[in-house]
Order: sequence, then structure tokens, then C-alpha cells
Amino acid sequence: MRGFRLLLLLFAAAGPAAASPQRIVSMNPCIDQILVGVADARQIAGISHWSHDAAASAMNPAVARRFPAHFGTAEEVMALRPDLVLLSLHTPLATKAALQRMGVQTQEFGVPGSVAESHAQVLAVARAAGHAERGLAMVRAIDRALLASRHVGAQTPALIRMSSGLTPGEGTLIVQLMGHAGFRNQSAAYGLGMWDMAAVEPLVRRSPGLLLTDRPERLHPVLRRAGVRAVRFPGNLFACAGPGMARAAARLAEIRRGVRP
Amino acid sequence: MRPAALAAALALLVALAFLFNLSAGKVFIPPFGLAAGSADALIMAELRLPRALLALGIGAMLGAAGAALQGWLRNPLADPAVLGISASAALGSVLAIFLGAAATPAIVSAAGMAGAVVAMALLLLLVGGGASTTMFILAGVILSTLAGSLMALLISLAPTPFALGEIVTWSMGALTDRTMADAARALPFIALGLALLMPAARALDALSLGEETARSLGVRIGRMQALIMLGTGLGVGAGVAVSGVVGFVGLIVPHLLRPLAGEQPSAIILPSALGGAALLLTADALVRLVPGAQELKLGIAMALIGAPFFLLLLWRHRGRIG
Repeated sequence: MRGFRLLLLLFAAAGPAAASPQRIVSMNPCIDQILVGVADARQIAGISHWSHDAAASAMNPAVARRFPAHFGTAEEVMALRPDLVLLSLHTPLATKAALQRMGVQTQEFGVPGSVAESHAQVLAVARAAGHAERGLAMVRAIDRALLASRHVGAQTPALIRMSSGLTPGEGTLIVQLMGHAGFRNQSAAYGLGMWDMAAVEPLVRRSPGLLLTDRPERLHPVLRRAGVRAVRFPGNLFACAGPGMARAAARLAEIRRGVRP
Repeated sequence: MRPAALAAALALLVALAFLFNLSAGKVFIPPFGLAAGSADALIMAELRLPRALLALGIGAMLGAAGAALQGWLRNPLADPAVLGISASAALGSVLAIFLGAAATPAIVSAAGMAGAVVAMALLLLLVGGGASTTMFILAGVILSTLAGSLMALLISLAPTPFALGEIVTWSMGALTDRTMADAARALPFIALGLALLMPAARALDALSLGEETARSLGVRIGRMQALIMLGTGLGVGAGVAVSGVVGFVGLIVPHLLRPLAGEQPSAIILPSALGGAALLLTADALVRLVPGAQELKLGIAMALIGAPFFLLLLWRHRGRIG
């Protein structure tokens, strides 16, 4: 099964390489993270402004600052004279249409819902940049990190809840990574869907186990009084697939190792 | 109805609404006789009590401010939200959050109050210039739109998408998961705001006979305006900093109570405070009872009730204002 998946990946990576683009602009912070890892630095003409902010992005700020940032408008992007624009599902329709009207080559990427989809996206970005082999290397590195974060044995109940209340549920990539690292996600027990706002009261009535949150110091006092344990899980680690997944998995594994049986 | 009887009846209503607010939720909890240390007791003391206290205080403040503004401006459509005072308070708080004060809620509250007081001062300037009823409501609408747009600007400049989500959620108006610390921060200023509005009531009665008559009766109009400006600014600002914008309370309540309390501004401010508290306590309990894991945002719920009421009011007053 594993061999078959690798074969499939190799096949995906070995597509025909056209003349590789020399001025790539990415419109999305998650695609930015893949792009800087698979393209030559001189190929990247611009990345999204989110990537310049260490609090929002999992990208190393020193790496991000090497590339000019744009705020996502078509004219800013055109001013960067791109020969390929990487769009996301969330790029505004008007911006997409404007770029396409001006005849610039575009390629659109979705939001991966699984590790396999994330791998496929990494390979697709790498192929678009003309460096399929680097995509394969990145996928292998991510797989190694996932393997290292793998927890064998009993799963411990846990819930991710940002201080805003935002809680990822079943079907999100981060919850799959939680399961992988030895956590049993509790969001479904509270009736929460894929991305819901979790209220505090149900968490007092029924403990979520370990609470992973971006700002444990801002935990509601009632949760502290109820004895809910909270550990820090940075907010920039759970929004993107791709190479950020490796860091998220590593942090989850680190937290899991700290859980006393 | 005699004022004392009306006040007593409204106070009873507030007490009932308070108990309803404490017990209502996805799970009903009786407000009395909880075992100390149980999850229910913890929920009651740390989640539902601060929430009920805030609904009580904010509702009272909005009701009283609506009645005072309607009396002062001699305009049935005046209300802290309609005149842009709530939106200005929200802008002040968002500005403080944007400048990095999110970790010090006292500064966020102070900025909310400053925003509301500045908005009141702007309206006062207009009154000084002898603005008509129409001008006033227009100015309020513009102020509200401007504050809303500036807030949207700050949100669009927010450093992270997560901070952005937090501000957007807060600005919709809700009392979900507020703490005792939030209540302790808002309630003293709300009490101060209410205390400042009460002495303005008599002057408002005289003002309803016209400004010249009021002056000849010895009313110090400047002092009265200062009381209303500070009372509304501090009270509404402190509330908005904690709850976000909750509109329409100050608009609806005085109109519902006027048939019972009479037309005198002084007779309507205290009943409106009580009525506002009862309305917000009830609405905040009902938003929790919607099915599913989520609750309805209080600000949205009040707009759903309030907007049709506002239209009805416009329709009934057609031909008389403008």
C-alpha cells in the first residue's frame, strides 16, 4: 500500500516540465510556504503579506523577508510582472478575473483536507515551479516528521480551542494530525462541526481533557477553576497544510510526550 | 399608572428576568441550592452570574440613555446606537486593541468610553448650532457609518487573520463567556453613568417646554447637557467595551413604557432603565436557547427585534417628523 502510494507520487512528480516560470507570485500564505521551499529564490517575484508576519504564518520570518510582499490586489500583483500567479480558493473572484483578463498565467490551489491531498498540493506547486524533484523531497521530509510524531498506544482526550473560541473539528487536517500524535479529539462530543466557535460552559460541565490553545494565559478563569489543563499551541500552526504540518505535528508530539499517563 | 407602582412592577419583572437569565442555557440550572464545588455551581458563579449582571447593567444603561436622549433632543428616534454613540465606543475599543492593548482590558474599556464621550461631544456641538430633528438623525447615521467604516479599516489592517476574527466576533455584540473581571470593569462606570443621568431628568422636563422657558425657569442647560454627555458616554462606552454593539434597546423601551409612565422625560428615565434591563436579560437568555452548539449573537438578535420596531415607529410618526 505504502509502495503503491510512493509510486503514485513519483508518477505525479514526473509530469512534463515546460520551460519553468521565472517570476512566480503566490496569493496565499499556505502556498507561500510551499513555494519558498521548492522554487529557486530568484524565481519568486512576490508572496502574500501574511507571510511577513511571524504571528500569522509558520514561515521563518528571515526567509519571508527575502521576498517582496503584496496585499493581494491585482494591480500590485501585475506590478510584480509575474509569469505565473498561484491563486487560492480564497482569492477574491474579482481579483482572479482581473488577472486572467490581463492574460497572466494562473494556477489555482484548494485547501487540502488530508495528508495525501497536502502531498499532492506540494507536488503540484513544485511542478508548476519546474522543480518536481524538490516537491518530492519536501513530501518525504513531511512524511519523516509525521512518522517521528507518531504516537503508538493509548490516545489521550484533547481539544484545540483558540482564545477566540475557534475550534477545528472532525474533517480538518489538524484534527487528523492530533489523532496521529496520540490525541482523541473531543469536538464532536460537544456537537461542534468542522470550524465552530466553542462556548466555555460545556467545557466546564464535561472536561475536554487537555486543552490546546494559542494563549493559555488568557484561559477563562472558570476553566482554570474547573481544573482543565491548558498547553500552548501556536495559532500559526494549524491553518496550513504543506511544510507547516511538520511543525504542527512536532509540537503535538512534544505536547503528547509531556502528558503523564 | 402611578410612578411607584410602575417602578415596583418593572423591578419585579427585572428580578424574574434575572432568574430566567441565570437558569436558561443549553442546560437548565436552578439558580438556588447548588452543591458547592459542583460543575453547575462553578458555571453559575463564574459564567452565568457575570453574564446576568452585565445584561442587567448594560440593559439599564441603554434604556436610560435612550430615554434621556429622546427627551433632550425631543426626538422619538434617538438612541445610543442610532446616533452612532455605540459605534464610536466600539471604534475606540478596536483602536485600543489594534494598538496592542488587547492584554490590558482596562485600556480597551477606557478607549471605549473615550470614543462614546467624543461622539456625544460632537452631537452636543450640533445641538449648540441649533440643529433640526432631521439634521440630528442624519448626523447620527453619518457618525455611525463613519465609525463602522473606520472599524472595518482597522480590521482589514489587522496583523493576523485570527485577531481579525476575534474583533469581528466581538463587534457583533454578545455576552457569551464574559468573566467576573469584565463585569467588575464595566458595572461601576455604568452605575456612574446612570447616576449622572438621573439629575438631568428634571431639567429635561423644563426643556420640553422649550429652551427659552427652561432658561427662565432657572435650568442650567449647559450643566444638563454635560451630565447627559458624560453619563451616556461613560455608561454606554463601558458597556460596549465588554459586550460589543447591542442596538435598539434604548429605542424600543421608552416607547413601550410611555403609555404607562407618561410623556415627561423625568417620569420615563427610571422605568426605561428597569425596562431595558428586563429586555436585555430576557433576550440574552433566549439567544442561548437556539438549538445546536452555537448561540445567536445578542447584537444580531436585538437588531432582528429592533429594526422592524424602528420601521413601525417611522411609519406611525410619518408626517410628524422631518
